[in-house]
Amino acid sequence: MAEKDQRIADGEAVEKEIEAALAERLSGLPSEQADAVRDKIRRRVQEEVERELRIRAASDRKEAREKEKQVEEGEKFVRFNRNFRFQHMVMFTSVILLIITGMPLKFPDFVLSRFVIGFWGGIQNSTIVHRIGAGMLIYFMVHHFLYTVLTRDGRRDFVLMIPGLKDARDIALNVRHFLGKTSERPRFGRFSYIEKFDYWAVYWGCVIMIGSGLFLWFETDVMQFLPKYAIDMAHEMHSDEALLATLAIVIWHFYNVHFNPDRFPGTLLWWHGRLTEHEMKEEHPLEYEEIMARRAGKPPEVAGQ
Amino acid sequence: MIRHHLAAALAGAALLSAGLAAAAVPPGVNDCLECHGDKSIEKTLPGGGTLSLYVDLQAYRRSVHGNSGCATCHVDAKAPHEKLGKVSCGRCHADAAKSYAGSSHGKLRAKGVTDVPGCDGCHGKHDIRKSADPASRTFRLNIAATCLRCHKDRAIEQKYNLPDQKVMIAYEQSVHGMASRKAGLTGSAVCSDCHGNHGILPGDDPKSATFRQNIPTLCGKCHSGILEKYERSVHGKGMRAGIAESPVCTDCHGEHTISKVSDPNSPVSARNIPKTCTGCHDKEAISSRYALPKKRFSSYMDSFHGIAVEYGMTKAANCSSCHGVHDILPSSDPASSVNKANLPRTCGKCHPKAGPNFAKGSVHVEVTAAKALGVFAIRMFYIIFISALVVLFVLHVGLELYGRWREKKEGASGGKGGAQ
Repeated sequence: MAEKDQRIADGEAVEKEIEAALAERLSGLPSEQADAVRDKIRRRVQEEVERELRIRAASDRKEAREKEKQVEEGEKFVRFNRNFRFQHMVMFTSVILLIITGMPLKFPDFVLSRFVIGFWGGIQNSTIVHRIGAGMLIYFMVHHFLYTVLTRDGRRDFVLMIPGLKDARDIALNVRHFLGKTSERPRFGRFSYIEKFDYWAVYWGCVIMIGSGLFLWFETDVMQFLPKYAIDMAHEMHSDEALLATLAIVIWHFYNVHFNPDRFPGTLLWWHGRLTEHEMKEEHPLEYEEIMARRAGKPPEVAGQ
Repeated sequence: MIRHHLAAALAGAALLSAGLAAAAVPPGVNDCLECHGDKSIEKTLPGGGTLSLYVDLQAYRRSVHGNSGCATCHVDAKAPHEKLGKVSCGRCHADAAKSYAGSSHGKLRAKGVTDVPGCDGCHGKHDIRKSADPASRTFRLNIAATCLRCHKDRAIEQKYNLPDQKVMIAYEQSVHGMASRKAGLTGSAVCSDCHGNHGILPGDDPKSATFRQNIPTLCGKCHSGILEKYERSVHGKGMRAGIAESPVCTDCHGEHTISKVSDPNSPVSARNIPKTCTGCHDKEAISSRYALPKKRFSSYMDSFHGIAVEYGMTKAANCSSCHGVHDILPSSDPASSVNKANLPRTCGKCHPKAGPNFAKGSVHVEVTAAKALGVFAIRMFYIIFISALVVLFVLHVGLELYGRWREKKEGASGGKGGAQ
């Protein structure tokens, strides 16, 4: 209530100020004209004030809702920053394009192949789309490399991605847990062995696919220096690695982020990049504890946030 | 003079005296037309039908024989007369009659088969015209229609065990048929150009122009430049050496169905040529007998060229892009377009910067340890790698799902236990 009174008082003060300003500016005009102008301005100010109040009220409501939600779900933790999410989007768009234009070449007898090639309006077009996808993947690779080298988050994540003994222990423990030998579950840090595998699979896949793909793309130039059987080997590699990458995505990545009963049919993590406190505790307990410990150890920084 | 006398006699005398006069001198055209100029004149056939005996004077006068008399052919004609003897064209056209007698039509005719055409069957009777006359049945542009009168008749095809009528009628849609029918090109091949006319023989008769071994020479009558190339090719040499499997023109191009290379339905179109060539080159018996390289089709279809052609990219290389067309030579021949020394030039037709490296490695890659070790090793590695990883993926996912299921079950039974 008090808030509303304050607002009304503020409004009156503003009105008085405007009146004073108007009186000064309009003093030279005949009183009739001055009144008309004054009326017009008063109406406009009134409208403007009302609009502003409506917007404020709406944003207050939203804030209140989010506060409520945060109490329910706990704090939100940014897992993937905007830069990383952008890289992921570029990559999955390019990989989807590459798979749907590439697989029909590996399996020309498959019933859908002809349809998929036809969708692009023939093989001339689908090979162009494949090269567009390739360009995007190369861009992604360069972007990610620079991200890893130049940004603090990138360098930190890259180090955390390196597999260690703990991952081997986690795998063993997880298997024993699945089999019911132990109720204990591995406690993951920022990246579990599942995610590390996913990451390094992409790394390996990109190196092989881009390398062999460039051989095939610029075969005549490559054959200025290398014999034809090098191209044949690149062709075989490109074709086989494509199948491996597709299977890794469809089985491993899709299960772990889409078909896993906890996540089906998938989360929006790739879009907003945030995890709830509950998810953090559940999936990355060591990272959560580390963040909490850091906050406790450095209270001023936390207070500043 | 004779005609003049006759006219006087006919005008002045009774019918009997006219008959006597005709016995001595052959009747003229006008005498014959006394009766045969009547459109309603006909005779009853033994079968019960009727046969018109009318002769169209106009048509006769315009015919090639229009200036001679009826009696030139109907030698026993007198007025009036009963059934006349058979007309023998061979009295004048001895050569034609002789070759006709040796033809399949002639032989059957001699046996009394009346379905086969005699001279009149193709040339007509009183209205025979020179074959150079566009109105003639035997004018080049009319010949197909003349032959097809019988050869698209299903009853005839079946009765004499001839190829299905579709085989011959396909000519009308072929490149030769379209050229003569649509464009009116008199240079385009018509039935008689390949099959002959009076001496027509079936294709399995070694004397026939359409006998397999005679076909290159036959087509070469018009396509002489191509014949010259073909004779030098491995196929041409093989054919002349009597190798039965060595292809002649029709084996690749078809016969009555011959169409342009640009026609997508042609067996030699860019899209179809791999299948046409592998019709022989994928045959185990032929490859073994003549020690030819095997797996030509599958190795081609594994390459980007093969896949692209399969999906309709006709600018991608097909068999003939590298091996040539009528001038195909084995790769061992230094003049061959696929001889190792010539490969850079051959590849360079499409890949402008092609150099000697194009010849290092096989074009038809057969993935075996002996023939392409590098590719074979990569394939083996990936087969093992992919299999192992897929097994691990499935095992992990399966174990996790099993763990979830087990926990859920235990949780449920544990809950019940707690409640009791």
